[in-house]
Amino acid sequence: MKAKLASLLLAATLVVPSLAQARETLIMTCYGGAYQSFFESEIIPEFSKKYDCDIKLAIGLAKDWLAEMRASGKDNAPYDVVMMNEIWANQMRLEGYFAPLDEGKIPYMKDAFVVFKDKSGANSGIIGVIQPAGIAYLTDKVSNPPKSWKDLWKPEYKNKLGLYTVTNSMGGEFLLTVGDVWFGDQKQTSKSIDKIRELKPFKLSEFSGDMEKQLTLGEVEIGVLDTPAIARLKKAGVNIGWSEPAEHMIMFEQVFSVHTGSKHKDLAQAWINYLLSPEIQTKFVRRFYTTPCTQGVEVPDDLKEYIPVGPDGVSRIKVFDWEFFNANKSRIIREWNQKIAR
Amino acid sequence: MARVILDSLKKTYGGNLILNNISTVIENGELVSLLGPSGCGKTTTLRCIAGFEIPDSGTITIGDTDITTMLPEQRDIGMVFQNYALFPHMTVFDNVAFGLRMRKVSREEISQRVHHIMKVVGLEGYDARYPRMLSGGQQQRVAIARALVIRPRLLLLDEPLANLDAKLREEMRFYLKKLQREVGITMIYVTHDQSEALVLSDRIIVMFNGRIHQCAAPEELYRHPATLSVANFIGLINPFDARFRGLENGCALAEASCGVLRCENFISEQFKDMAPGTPVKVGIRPESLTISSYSPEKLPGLNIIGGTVQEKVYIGNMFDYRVATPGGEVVRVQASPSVDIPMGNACWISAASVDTLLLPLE
Amino acid sequence: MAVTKAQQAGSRLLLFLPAALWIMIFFVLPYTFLGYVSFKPTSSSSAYLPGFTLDNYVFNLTDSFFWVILAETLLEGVATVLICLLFSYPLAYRLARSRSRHRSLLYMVVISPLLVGVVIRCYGWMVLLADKGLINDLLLKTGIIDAPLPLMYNMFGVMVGLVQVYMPYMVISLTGAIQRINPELEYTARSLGASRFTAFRKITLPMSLPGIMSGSILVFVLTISSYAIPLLLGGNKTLTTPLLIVQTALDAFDWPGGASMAVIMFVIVVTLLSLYIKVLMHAMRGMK
Repeated sequence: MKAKLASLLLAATLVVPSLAQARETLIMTCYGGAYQSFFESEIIPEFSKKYDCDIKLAIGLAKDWLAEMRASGKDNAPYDVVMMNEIWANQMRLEGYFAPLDEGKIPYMKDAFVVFKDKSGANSGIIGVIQPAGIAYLTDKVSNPPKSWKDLWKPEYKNKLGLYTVTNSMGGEFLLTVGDVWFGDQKQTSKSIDKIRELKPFKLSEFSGDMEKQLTLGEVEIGVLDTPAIARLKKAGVNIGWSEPAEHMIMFEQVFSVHTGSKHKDLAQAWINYLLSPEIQTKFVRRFYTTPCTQGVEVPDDLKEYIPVGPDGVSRIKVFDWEFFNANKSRIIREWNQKIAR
Repeated sequence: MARVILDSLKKTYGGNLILNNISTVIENGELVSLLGPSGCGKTTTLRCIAGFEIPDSGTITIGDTDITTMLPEQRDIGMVFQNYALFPHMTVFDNVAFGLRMRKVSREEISQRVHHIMKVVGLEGYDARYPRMLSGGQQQRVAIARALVIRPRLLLLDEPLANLDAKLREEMRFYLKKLQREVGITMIYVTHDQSEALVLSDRIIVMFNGRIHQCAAPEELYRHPATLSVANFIGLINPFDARFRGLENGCALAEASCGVLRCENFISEQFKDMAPGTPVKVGIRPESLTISSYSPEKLPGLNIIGGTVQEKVYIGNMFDYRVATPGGEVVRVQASPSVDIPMGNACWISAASVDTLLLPLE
Repeated sequence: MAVTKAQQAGSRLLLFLPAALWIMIFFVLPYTFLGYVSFKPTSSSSAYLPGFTLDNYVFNLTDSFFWVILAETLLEGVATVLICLLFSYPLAYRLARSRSRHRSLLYMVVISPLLVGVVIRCYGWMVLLADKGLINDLLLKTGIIDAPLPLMYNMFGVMVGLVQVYMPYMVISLTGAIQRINPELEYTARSLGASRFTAFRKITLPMSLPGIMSGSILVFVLTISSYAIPLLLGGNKTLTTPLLIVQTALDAFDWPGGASMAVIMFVIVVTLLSLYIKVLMHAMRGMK
């Protein structure tokens, strides 16, 4: 009810300017803060000029976008281009909210390292931003840093750990990782939760910003963070180190998709293609210290110090079975609550 | 039972002297009023006796005990407030029984004593009611019963009748007086209502600005006020500025603008050492003055002042005249309606020297 | 011009209209919707499915974990109320009886915490209570302790936040109630032989019950529905029913499940509060 009203209002704001200016407008989901200002000041103006269109950002978080999309239905697109983590995008793709992507309209798709297919086998999601994640530690406190996920269980790291709560995407990745590295099966979530319980006591973060804060304050000495965050903290003077876990890395990623109900699919694909272009990818790398997502984009030499994982490292990042995770999410959260969050 | 002695009580609040050397003695079984306008220190005196305030200096004794700094709950003093201060969340019985329970009196005795005192105040059968279900007069009687049932050494009443309507107030005055005689308890009664004080009290202590001006029986206070303030507060007075001339066979002479006035109503102690020429006040009550359209015979015991009728009001049983004297004073005269002098006419007013007060400047 | 009775009634109705509308739109409608959703079958791909089911209620009502969390949440509410009462009463008493000209200043100091947002205050507490925070730092440096005390990310930290954030409501309620008590009542009790403490226990305390009632209900309701404080100061380690509801509805995308939890909590809280009010009303029966 409320969502419908909201989408009506949204539709109204869409229709009115397009009538007045007779130019296309794309709406894309986006996070507030650094992402928003980066898109608005460094990416959108050029594209908008070239294609004579407007790009509007729907600022929020995946939870809000999912609720909005589900409430609006597949045929009414509150957003034309959807940017979100794969943990969420996977769900929407399975439910048929994302349109097939045309390689003819997105020439750079063939260069992309990770492309997701929908049930019919059509390409429908491309990773456009990669932030590889591994083990973060305070260099002045931890002289012998963990080298693998399994190392975290070593007695010497007891009382030093910070983890994510399971409702966070990084927390989900960690849970599946534990299944993979200890039991050879991501789906062993019960065993994994018991295994994580062995790590107690540890501090729990709700999101990576909280993890960064806890490391900075020295509340925890070992945690899980992405390399861009490490780069930022290093630049800010925090004595922080990062190791790539021997088994595999995990990541924060942004998957770009086009909404099935979008009325501007061509423009939407042109926009995604533009985002995958070496020029924009390099902008991302320079601005956020992310790892390039397409072939042919290299890490500039002056940034190698801050970007330990180059394009060749992307293959060492694990992609998880989110379909399984999402289908079992209620059960997993309940079990987590009972065993960990108490 | 015992007498209460206040000795040189002083109390200041934020630099203001609220009690300035309060000393007095209240005899056993007496009903004494503290009378004065609001802010005169009467309530503070009461609170010092009750123990809610501690005087800065001076002592309070009851019998042989110095209670100046004793806790209120140890003093055995009953207290009745203007707005009754009944405990609204307790029944009448529980209100009255409160003090006995504090004294760990046995259940049977509590019941017996409460019922007895309820009979005394005429409120039998009201046990189970809550205060808000009673009238103002009934509430006040509960408050009195509650204070009396503990058989205090002393009962303090702070304007206890001020919240009642005029008719009930009058009834309660006589009721209180009767009750006091029956119970035989010493009472200190704070009021700003002079007629209440006059009706009730054995003696009245009149206070102004933290000082006791006079302490005397009601009639004495009216007839021989010690200061102009007292004279003004209890009844009406016409003040005349004058200079003291001297004493002459028990009669004082004072020179006012209207001539030399002979005063026989004064407290000789106040004047026995006074130097001639000292400024004083001469006071004559309006009802002591006689007005006539001719000059009365000049007798030695009569002060006569000439003037003009400036205003005349008929107030039922008398005329209320305002007479202007050549000295510029306006004198109020209350005279019987048989004498009717038109406004603007010359007149003579006279008062017997025994009714002419000589008062010191304050 | 004559005003008819109907016109009068009409204008009186008009006065109620804004409040009635407000309550309709922001209270009755959402709650009705919440109740409606709670009887719908769950779906992972849409907010809920059509149809009617009691499954959500059966599931939660038979789930011991849900009951444990609810019981803990309510206990946390009771504990917060008691601590707030204990801390607020002396303060409220001073404030109510103060004749100082700094009284309004004191009042401002008491309610000043309300001028800063809850989240910001929580971050303030985090700076103080963290393992490397000011308090632990000071205690470690002075050698009073040799390992940091767990002051945060547990029930203690949450309670500290709850008490600090909600205490002003208690102080304001109590101050109002105590101000309405005639100070002469206490004097009378003293003159009748009650000690200062007894006079307080027998007179002031029972007479301030209306303030205790409104203050405790306010703090209780605010505490058990509090979200930001247990989230931030509990460090995802203390679960309360509101956190569980949000998690169920948003993280697990189970609207009907979350809605049924909210309805169960609502019913239980309303029942408990009406019992509480009834008991206190009985205790206050003599008062106006």
